[in-house]
Amino acid sequence: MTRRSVVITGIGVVAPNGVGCAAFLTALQAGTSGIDEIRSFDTSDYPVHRGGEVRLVEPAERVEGSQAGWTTTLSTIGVREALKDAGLTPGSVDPARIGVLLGTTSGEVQDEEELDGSWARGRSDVFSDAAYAGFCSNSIPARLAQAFDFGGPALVLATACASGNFAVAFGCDLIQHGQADIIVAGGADGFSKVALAGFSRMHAVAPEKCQPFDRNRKGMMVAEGAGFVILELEERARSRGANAYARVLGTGLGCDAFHLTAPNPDGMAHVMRLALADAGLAPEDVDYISAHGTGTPVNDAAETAAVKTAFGAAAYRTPVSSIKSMIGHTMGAASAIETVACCLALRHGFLPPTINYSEPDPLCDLDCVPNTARFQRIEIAMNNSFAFGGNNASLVLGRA
Amino acid sequence: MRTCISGIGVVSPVGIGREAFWTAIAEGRSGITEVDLFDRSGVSCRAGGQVRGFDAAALIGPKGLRYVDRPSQFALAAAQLAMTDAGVDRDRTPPERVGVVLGTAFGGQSSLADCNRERLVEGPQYLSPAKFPNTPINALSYQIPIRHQMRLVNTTVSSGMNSGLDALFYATFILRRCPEAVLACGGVDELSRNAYYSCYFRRELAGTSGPELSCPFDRRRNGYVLGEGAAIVVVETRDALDRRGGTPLAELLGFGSATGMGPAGFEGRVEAATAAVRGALRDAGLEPADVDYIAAGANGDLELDLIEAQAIVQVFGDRRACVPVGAVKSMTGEAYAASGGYQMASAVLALQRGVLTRTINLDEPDLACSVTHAGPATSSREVRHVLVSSVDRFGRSVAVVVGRPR
Repeated sequence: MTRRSVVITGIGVVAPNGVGCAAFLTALQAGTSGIDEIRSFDTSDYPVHRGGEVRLVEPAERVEGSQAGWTTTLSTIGVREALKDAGLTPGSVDPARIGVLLGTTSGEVQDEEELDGSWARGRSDVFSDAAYAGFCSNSIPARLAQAFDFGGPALVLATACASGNFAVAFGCDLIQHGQADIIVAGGADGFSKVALAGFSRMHAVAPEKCQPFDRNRKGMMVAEGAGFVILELEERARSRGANAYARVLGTGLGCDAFHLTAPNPDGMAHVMRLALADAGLAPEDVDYISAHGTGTPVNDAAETAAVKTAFGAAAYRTPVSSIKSMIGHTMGAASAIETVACCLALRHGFLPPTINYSEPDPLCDLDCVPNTARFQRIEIAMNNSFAFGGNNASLVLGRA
Repeated sequence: MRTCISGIGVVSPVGIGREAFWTAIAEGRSGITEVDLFDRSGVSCRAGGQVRGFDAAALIGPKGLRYVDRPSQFALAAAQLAMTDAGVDRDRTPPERVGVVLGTAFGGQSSLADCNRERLVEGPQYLSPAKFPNTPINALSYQIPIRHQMRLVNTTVSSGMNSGLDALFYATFILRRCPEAVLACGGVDELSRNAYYSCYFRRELAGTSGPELSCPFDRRRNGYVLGEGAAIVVVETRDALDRRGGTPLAELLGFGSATGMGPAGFEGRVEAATAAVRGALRDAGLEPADVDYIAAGANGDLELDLIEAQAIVQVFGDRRACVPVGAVKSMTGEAYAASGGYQMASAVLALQRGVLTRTINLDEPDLACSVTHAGPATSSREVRHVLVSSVDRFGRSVAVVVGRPR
């Protein structure tokens, strides 16, 4: 049975280095960092003070008239842009045939922080809808469904930092099996104070900047954001005259059942191979790998080893860059934003750089597109994501 | 592709293990007690479907449990019970073919609350690095594949009260990707202080405007009693199950879901619940007349129970007199993601033994919920197909049709 081709016809992004695809594209091509001093709260008690915050130009971009939390707000901005980009105006799709899959690590984490803050201050009478939304994360897809009239599946897919890729993979499944015509798939997470404190305590956060693959890399930068793509059948996209960015050629999902937090090169290589096999492609066919590339000493070395295992000799001929060097680790949004970056790279013919790169590491000796974007036409991109709990997922995207 | 359930593992307020659970719900035994998991000062409610007598070490071994939080222990134990119940021979089942799909509404919320407390009271520099990895939504699933060497997939699905059934839906797509797979699939949620207080102050709990009673479909209902636990089933394709010589408990025949929010309000939500049930029947290739029992999601919420009842009336019409309805949440409380698993376990009990779970505390049936309630008169009969339905707070409904193994 031949599988019907699914394409990405719209993208939306809210990233620390650019809100909206136009700004994000400019930033990726220029190698602009979105890492800065954290301003949304006082970090003096924290061991680190920098991160990747989204700064909205107009506060009015907060979701109109609702008490929606920050993660919902980021999601709403991203979904609205993706729908518009795909040319899907209200009423153009049967609501029953459009659904949303949201990847997220912690949902409405800031509402939960506020709630727990009130406990810590000895108050227990501040419970509200926001508090409920704070730990019942399907409030986010529910609000998106309400705002945009999605009557189809509205679910959270939670595989921590690989959530966005899992959402895209399941979205393709739903479309290919006729469960929906359009799936809005992506990821979002608001800035988490617990993540900043927790990753710092795990010695996984860099004090100043994220330097993936560099010998002196010191860790990740905690960040926030949202990324969404519009998935539909290629034949449907063509018949409505939509201009697709990419075909989703292959998906590879796995769980390495190795360790809660330690990366495992075998598990990483496994999903890359699965995704290539699913796409019917060889390693030589891949022009670009968007790395998980968190910038922690262990992740980047493990990922480099994994690419070598999966790609063999082709590893050294395949550029592998990490946009986390520019935006930090946006948690559940990360792989979704990276999928958006791959779509832009495929359409506009460039490789996003790994910025902050100065000293080669023998353990990370692949071409990481150091510091400046490379302008070249690419046909096939792979997007890697590896998460807590050994959840790994790779996507293979082809230029449409 | 034929898909079946081959094992059931339950950690619930009414019993631990499939047989204990089945015995309790067949007898109509309530698991609602006075909650003693946390300080309840400031709230007037006391009741909860709290899991009691849970000895994690006895079920899953004493090692390495120190940093595994309580709901993760529920999930681990339920997965272990389900895999044992299914008779999966792990010596002959490679890790690459075994996976987990877990539903949860609240996820690692109580560990997140712990970490927030540490961060705020002791300071960010003292937050426990061992506890922190338990904070993501999917953290409750982490230990299962590590302990049981499952490498296929470990996905968490979160959709409130529908999470457990949506996890099953997701699992069927993993089986399409890998028809040889053995999947531990279900739901887990914990009765946490934040959930209890939040639902209380939203006036969703029974006792905030009437008697504190878990009484779905009853005239006196005024909210749900919050429950907890884990319910996991083993899901495989029929071909794979036959090949390994396993015994099916039930077949998963159809899924349906729909979202109704927006301006249509209550009517829109009834429409969505109706569409979900119709969709599940259509997907199963069945007519309403083929259904012999409905394992309802009703929990005592004034509105949700009515929405579900009206959807049943819409779909079954006059035939509803022949289709008894039972709500297991009358005994377990609203356990969010675990609820879907409890409902599924009650559906399999009906298919396997002809025992129809009754709604307890139904002394004064609400005539507006004009369904036929399972009772002494409808017990012990041959059941061909069961409809499992669920309506979430946020307007989305899910329905699943299961049948006797053919």
